Amino acid sequence: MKKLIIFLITLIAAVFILGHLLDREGTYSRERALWNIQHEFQQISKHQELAPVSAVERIIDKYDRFSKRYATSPLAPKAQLLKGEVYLFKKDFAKAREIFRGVSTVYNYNIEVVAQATVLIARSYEQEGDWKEAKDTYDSVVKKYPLTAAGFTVPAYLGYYYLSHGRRREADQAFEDAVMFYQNTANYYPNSPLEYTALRMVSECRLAQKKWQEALKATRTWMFKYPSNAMLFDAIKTINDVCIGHLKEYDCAIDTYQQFLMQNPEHPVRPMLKKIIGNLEELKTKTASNEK
Amino acid sequence: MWCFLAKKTMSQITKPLILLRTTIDNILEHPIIVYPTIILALIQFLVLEILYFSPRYPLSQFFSPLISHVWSEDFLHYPMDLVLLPKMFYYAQILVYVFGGALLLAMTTHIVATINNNHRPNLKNSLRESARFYIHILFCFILSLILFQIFSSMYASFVNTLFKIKTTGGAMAAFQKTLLWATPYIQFFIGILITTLLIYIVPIIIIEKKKIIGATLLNLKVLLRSFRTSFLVVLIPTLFYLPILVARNNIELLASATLPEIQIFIIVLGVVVTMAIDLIILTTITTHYLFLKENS
Repeated sequence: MKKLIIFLITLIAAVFILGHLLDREGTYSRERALWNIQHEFQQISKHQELAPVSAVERIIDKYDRFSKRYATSPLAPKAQLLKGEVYLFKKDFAKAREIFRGVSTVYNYNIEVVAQATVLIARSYEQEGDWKEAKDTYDSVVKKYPLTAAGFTVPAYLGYYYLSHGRRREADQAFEDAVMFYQNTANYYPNSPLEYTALRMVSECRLAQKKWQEALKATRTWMFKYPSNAMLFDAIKTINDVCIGHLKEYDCAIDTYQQFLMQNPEHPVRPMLKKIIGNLEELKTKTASNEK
Repeated sequence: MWCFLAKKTMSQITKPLILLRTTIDNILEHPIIVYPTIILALIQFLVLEILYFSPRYPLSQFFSPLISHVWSEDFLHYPMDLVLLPKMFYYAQILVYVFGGALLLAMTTHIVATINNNHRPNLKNSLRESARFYIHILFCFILSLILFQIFSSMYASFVNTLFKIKTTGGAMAAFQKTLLWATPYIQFFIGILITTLLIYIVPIIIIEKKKIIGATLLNLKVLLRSFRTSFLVVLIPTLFYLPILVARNNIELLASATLPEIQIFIIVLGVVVTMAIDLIILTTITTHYLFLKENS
């Protein structure tokens, strides 16, 4: 048994050494290296006024060295964009934009990277206080790269921007435009992950607008169309919030869940939904008797 | 003198703290008792290591499709892979226990019993004797899992019922919040209770060569005679796991304050502490059972 113990210790040590050696320059190691720089920056940037200049410069240097060392890696443009964000933090907007534009030029074959860089250019104008230029840049992203990860969220972002600045009317208009954009995308790409994401964005926009009936309708649409999705619990939470919290109607939630069960009789969430229906009916009776 | 018990008197042996101290003295005196536990811990470390390297080449060739299919592709990237690691390790631990861990712990019981009978322990012999009863030991392990599920479900139903009560005052809301926060700790104590309820089964299977049903019945009989001592023997060492439980419940906070790799450190520490706890409890309970048998 002593021999077995020695064998196991040797095996553990061998696996450890081999594991590290085989992936020394691999994707995982690069991801970790990049994450560590990001993490260090996050720690420094917690208090903008107190961030030491030398520490910020060190971060920039680390991003540069990373990009140089792994120039051919897909993480290299990401490192450059993160470096640009450090300049945004420094409020050196011109330099930040120079970096983002540089990334767009060097990686012009990668539409995702270009879209992300353009969104960051818009963000730099926004932080600088030049909303007109920011809005134009955001609009160009939606026009040129509507289906990229960065471009897809921009229409809703515009609504949220106006909302957070108390410009209710403009926010409403931006959300209406966003709903139209997402609805069109859903129509163009039926039965695809894109349709699912677009429908979800419609319900997000409606929730932000506090248009509860429409939000309910939109949530029901993606819940019924994509019942196997892991995000089903989000749908249930939204429906509960909208029906009980805002519309004060138990029946709309009960009807939705009953219809869902009728359409998906073998669904794994069946026991949970039945329990929720039971609870809602109980609450409905209680509320009715309290009102009497 | 090989026998542990000969050194202690009747009143002393029923005191849990003295029992535990004797166990530690005897483990130090007979390091052979620790061997199966060390092997079990090393097997777990090896499994943990494999899971840790699973998103990287060359293990990623096998694990990546599996992880993407069962969870999400996100968990193949740093640091999300470390978020998934404790979960994967938990499932792997169950497999380790089913395919040999239970047997190795039974070997500990056999070694302790052999030493108590004034014989020189032999690891091969202990392995052979324990392997004969592997299926019954496995049933004991499954029984504890089932009981834990039942008790946990009962507790969950109780919590759900409490949460159905509409809160009007702050006191009830505070109580519900506390209850939610305390859930892992309450489950921890449920675990201690279940371990106590089944604690003599493995020693009885190994020493009395009984099958699972006979061993369970005899276990209950023995437990009726010495529940307080048995409970304290399980409780006192298991309390050493509490700091790890606290760390595990605050892992997000810890990871953001330090590094995501803290997850691995906590898992490794958890394995070491769990193994030490299991070893001490099993040795103490076997000794205690032999003592009770001798004096009955």
